[in-house]
Amino acid sequence: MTDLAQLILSGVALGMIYALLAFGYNITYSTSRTINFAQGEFLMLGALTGLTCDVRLRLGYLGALAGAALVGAALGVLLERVAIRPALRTGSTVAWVLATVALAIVARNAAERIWGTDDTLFPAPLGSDPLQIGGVRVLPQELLVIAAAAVIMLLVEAFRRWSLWGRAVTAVAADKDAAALVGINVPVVIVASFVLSSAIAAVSGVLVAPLTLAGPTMGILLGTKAYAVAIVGGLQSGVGVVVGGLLIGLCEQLTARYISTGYKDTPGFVLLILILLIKPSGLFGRRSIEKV
Amino acid sequence: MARFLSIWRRSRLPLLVALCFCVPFVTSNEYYVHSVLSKVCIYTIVIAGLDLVVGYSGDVSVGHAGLFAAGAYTTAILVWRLALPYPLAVLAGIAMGALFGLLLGVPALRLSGPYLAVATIAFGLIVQTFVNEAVWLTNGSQGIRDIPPLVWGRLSFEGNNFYFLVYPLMVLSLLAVHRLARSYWGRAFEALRENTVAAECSGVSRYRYKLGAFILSAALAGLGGGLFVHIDNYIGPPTFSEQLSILFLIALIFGGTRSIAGNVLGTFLVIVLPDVFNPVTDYQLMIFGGLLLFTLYFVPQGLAGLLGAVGRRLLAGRFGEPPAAAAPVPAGDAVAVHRARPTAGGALLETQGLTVAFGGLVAVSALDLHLEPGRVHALIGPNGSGKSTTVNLLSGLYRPTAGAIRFAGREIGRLPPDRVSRLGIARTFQNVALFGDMSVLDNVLIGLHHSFGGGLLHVLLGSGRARREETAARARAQALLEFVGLGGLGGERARSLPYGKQRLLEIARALAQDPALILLDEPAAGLTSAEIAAVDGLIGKLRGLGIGILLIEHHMDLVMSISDQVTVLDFGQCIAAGKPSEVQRDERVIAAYLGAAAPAAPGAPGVVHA
Repeated sequence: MTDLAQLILSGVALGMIYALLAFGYNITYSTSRTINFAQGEFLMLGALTGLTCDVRLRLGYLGALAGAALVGAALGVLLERVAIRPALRTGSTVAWVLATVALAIVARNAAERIWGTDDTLFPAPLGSDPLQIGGVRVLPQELLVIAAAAVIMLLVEAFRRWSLWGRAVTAVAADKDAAALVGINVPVVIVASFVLSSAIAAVSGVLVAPLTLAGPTMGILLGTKAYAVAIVGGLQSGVGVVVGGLLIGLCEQLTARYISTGYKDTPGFVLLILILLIKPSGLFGRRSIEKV
Repeated sequence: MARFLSIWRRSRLPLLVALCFCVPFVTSNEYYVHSVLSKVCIYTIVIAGLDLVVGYSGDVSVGHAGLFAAGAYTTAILVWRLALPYPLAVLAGIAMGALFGLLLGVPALRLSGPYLAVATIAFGLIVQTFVNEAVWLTNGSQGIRDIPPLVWGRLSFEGNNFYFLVYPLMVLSLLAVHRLARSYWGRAFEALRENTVAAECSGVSRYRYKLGAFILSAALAGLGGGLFVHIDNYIGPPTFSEQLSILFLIALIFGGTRSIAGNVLGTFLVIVLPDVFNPVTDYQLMIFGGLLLFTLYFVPQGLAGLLGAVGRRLLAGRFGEPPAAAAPVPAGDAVAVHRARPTAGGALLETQGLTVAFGGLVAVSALDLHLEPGRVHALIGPNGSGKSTTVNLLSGLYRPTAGAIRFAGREIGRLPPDRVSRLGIARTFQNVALFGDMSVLDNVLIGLHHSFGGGLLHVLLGSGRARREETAARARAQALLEFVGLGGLGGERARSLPYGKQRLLEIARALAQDPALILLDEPAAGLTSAEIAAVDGLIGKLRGLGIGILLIEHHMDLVMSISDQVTVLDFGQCIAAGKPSEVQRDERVIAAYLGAAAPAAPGAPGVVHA
């Protein structure tokens, strides 16, 4: 029983990281109908930047988070400029998918050159000794991940709903032309959405790295699973990504425990295909009607 | 000189193909022939297939390495474990690729958007996990080593001879892709990419052709995989990583999409460049990524397009190329413009209580329409009264919330737009929806999509039937262009036509579908009065052909002069119906247009501006 409780907790922690990344897809998809195929690489760059800030520059874990957020924000601007804006101008899906994929391999290669190809241990800020809670052994970092992810998502959601800026984002998501007509600077809103999304990805890198390891390849699987989460939950739904993230995180832990660790990465992708077959708009998505 | 040039032009390609076949006779360097050229041939097969998806259909697959792996592992396992003959094993590899293409495409292509890209990335990772983990089948990370050499008696395809197997297969694959791309299939791919809604409303099934492109592409990846097994007589999991999928995409974009020369060129460079960049091999991915970005935005037509443009410019000065031969098309008179459909007597289209609601907003409410063949039925009303929504309902783009649509005795309310088009309802769009980068003639040919009965095999084999159908369709498309007054413009790009002519082209495309009913959504919007007169005349001619017409229009002079019947909508509800003269006098109509408080103006409400 405690064994299962432990699995569930690790599943939830992992699921929250997926949810956080998918939440980032959610933000950019709503404003620009694109998602960043380099999101996993941004997570990785965030983790490695954090590692440098924390260990090399001795800025501590908070310094690592701040450094990652800054680098993430800068990457967001770069991404929007280099990959998204030109593609939106040509109106071609192929262009933005390929441009973000190109950025992903450039980012991975750059990280290898800067930080080396090896995986490094990321010191856990709250220590790596498990806590005993009712007989269940819990890593403090897992609790930190769950709490931090929840706080970030709640803050962003509150910002989206109740601040003027957030409403501008919602307006752009609903109708770009109408938003522009009432005086919203649509290009700026789109840039802002990429800045936010990329900063969140980079911060989640610093959150997850103490649980995994930090290295140039850490982003591939995490990023890909987050696509699965985003689509399973519904590309436009904030609740959906949390439920999707938790669902996939749990399925993975259960697969690893009861089937084989080798296959622990597959349930997310199986769920993805199933959802596309059964309810392609996602668990919490609504079918949108395109105006002709 | 001219004669020499024409012979040269016709024979240069076969000559080049034959010359390339002879390379191993010239150099016997094992590295260049076997490791480079044979690999180029195999990858080119995969990339030409990928072009069907990315270049023609406009979707992205980031999982072709997974399909490639499926072909390779199927082939290798069959010859190694079951000692199946190699050709059979390769066929099984192709089938396995196609099967996975089907399994992936069916769910992922239902919606447009990034779904295929995401699903294929996931698929690629699953395949990699599987070949690593299923040791009992794939030998896991060890890979499969003991693949028997390709020797039958004295015939050996080992070493440099392997090229004599893969090169012809590459040529055949490229020929197949070329034929497909130049056929109505290729046109359907392009139309769907340019404007999905317009293509569907012209009778092209989005799902069928997107899926078709993806499955064919997957089958070619399977073939490539089956051949790849013999590059080293060894396969192992690291080869089939996500990076290989990306490499395929880079080769495709770099060489140039929708071009066979581009496919070959791009593949060649991607395989050879790492050797060139050997000193900076640690930065290889950065260089490739940078190249991809650069090509995407600065050389979108790719290297082949660039070289082609440069070559044409150089040659033009020297020889003066003959004008691009517009295929000679027989005179329009001989070809029937419209083939009437046998229709049962009575109403052509009837709606009963037709209602659609978007959330809480009821856009069309309990609408009853009754349209007859050979008559013009106008649907008018202020902006936002539900006219275009009605057209979208009738053409299958929206599903009614309640009520029935009966067309020629058949309930069509739940049919998708391409089926509706095939049953005989064609439409035009309020905001002109043409395939802008395709030629004017090709736009009409998309409307004639239904006239092609020869299936995929006919196209791939270049059968007589496929050619006859193409010739007949071209002749009819030309006749249709002449019918609407665009006879000499078939070779222009649709985008470059003036606005008024674009509207006429839409009507030609609609007429090409042999409709019994045409829905014209504001055909005169934005036109000059001379152009409006042309549209007016054209509508009369359509009626003369016995076609029923539903006309949405704000130009009241046009509506009142041409319509047999008028229905007036306001807030989604029918507020008046009858002959034009009756409707003009209706108090509620005048109130809807001019406001209730206004004095009832005599005569027509006049032109109402949007």
